[in-house]
Amino acid sequence: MLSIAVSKGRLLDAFAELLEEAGYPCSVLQKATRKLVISSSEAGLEFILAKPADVPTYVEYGAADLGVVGKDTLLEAGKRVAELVDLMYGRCVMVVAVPEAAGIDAVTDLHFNSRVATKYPSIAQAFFQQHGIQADIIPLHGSIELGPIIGLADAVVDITETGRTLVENGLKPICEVMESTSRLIANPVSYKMKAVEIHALADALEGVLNRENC
Amino acid sequence: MRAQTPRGVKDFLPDDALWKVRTEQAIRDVFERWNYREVLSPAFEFFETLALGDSTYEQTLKFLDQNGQLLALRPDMTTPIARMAATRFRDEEAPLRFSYLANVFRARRDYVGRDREFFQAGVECMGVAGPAADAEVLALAVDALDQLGVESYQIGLGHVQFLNGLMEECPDAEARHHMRQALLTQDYVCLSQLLENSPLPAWVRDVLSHVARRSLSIDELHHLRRQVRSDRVRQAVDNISGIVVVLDAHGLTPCVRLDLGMLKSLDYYTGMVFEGYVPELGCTLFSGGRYDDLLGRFGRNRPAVGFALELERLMQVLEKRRRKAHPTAAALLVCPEERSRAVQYARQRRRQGDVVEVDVQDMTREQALKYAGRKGFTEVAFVSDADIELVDPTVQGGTGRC
Repeated sequence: MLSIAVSKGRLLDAFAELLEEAGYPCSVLQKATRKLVISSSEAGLEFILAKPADVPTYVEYGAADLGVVGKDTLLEAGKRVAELVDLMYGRCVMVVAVPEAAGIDAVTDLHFNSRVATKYPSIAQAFFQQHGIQADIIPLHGSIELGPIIGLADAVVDITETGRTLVENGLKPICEVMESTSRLIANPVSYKMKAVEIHALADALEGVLNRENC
Repeated sequence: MRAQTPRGVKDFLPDDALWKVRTEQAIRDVFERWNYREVLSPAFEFFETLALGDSTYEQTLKFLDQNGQLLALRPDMTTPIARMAATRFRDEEAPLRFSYLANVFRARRDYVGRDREFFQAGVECMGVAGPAADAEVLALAVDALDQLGVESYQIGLGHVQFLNGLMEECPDAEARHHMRQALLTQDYVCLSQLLENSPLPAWVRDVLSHVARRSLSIDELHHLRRQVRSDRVRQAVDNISGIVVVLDAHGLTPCVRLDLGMLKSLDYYTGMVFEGYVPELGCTLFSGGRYDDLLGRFGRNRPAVGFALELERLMQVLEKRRRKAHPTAAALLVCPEERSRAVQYARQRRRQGDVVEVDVQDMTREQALKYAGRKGFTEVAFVSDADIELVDPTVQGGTGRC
């Protein structure tokens, strides 16, 4: 039995679909339930439903053998886990965005010690450091777009799929920080001790992904 | 007044302290039987000295003394022992076999656990290269686990020169660096992207992507040797094969898997590396390897191999069996109605090996029995001029005389 930490919502549906195609029946995930641990004995999998940001932690400590999480969240968490498969869905881009009216077109135009609101303080800090820009990073937990509107921040670092939320809030992206997709991650020890089961699952998932790509 | 402890350090209360000491003693017995002699070293040394080892600047807890010297708490025991061996055992006949049970300090740990002070037990075998010494150290680690009753462990065995040799085939230094980084952090998604775009020969790409994900059987290893076009890689394969032969003699092959994609540190280890896992832990229980360059940094070039076992993680694995193994010590309370006789009686019983506590609060008979009941004593002795009355505090009114 392998345990997998996943987060609820749209991305879980995409993962369930992928698992089904890979030959791991997991209809149990479709049933509406408030349970936090759901087992599929046919698939030999146990799903642990967690907040996205907690998935890397569960896996790091070995409370879950595997996890599914966005590369953005994974990089921000900075946990020691093995990254096995790029699941190719949940694609989004992390950008630096500023108010349309600010007249700024590049990150280098940001003034000294600009305030930057973000849900990804570590990634943002590293990004600005890399570009030699001194920024005052303001960590927020949600509604990042609000930062510039209410005068809390001069810019934001946030993820976007289509860019619509940004535009609707009067923001324009000026620079891409990174691209992100969902990843299958493993606890480093589980990866060794349950190697056979984990490789079987990873190979099956990659098989489906390669077929879809062709 | 601050009555708290800083982050990452902890107290061991009596039960835990006893448990730790007993566990350490069991390990110490094993080390002794393999003739790995225990050494102690100072808790702090010059930062410069410790910086020659495997720890990064950020990992080390540093401070200045009154003379402005930069000192650091030891982040591991291998570096102090290498210093000792290179200076105080300069001309000593090899092999030098050392062991330690010590606390070490890190400002920041690279994975699970936020402890800044933690405990390690380990050995170093210095002055001898070759598979027999490599295998001995590994076999000793496993013997310690066996003696402590740890079950279903697995050992991953890798080789730094195997990966280094493969990387050498890549002419681009930056690509090499990124590949090593991906292996170190086990980012296999990144590794496969790097391999796809790299100018590596096809055989290197095949071997790398295979070993990064799969462990090999011995047969596969021999098969792989025929694919290899690099002397360095071939030598590493031969070294691993040699180690496996000795491990087989130790009876260890069933629990060892060849994990040639294992990279443990960027430039510290020089030969075989290994890690020990148990299903109860999400992190490694022990790890080690060959580090032939370290003693040379202290002015006496000698090969060396060793391992360190994480003591608190081991205690965590053994935790479930702990209550059974170490019940609260049977104890006896002597009520000094006649103090001089009482302390003499207590002394006599202690000499016999009993755990004895003498009342120092002038408790009444009733208080003494209640106290003994709360503390789990098995016997209470009331000592008077005339006699010594032994009472079982768990039995109401039960008595016996001697």
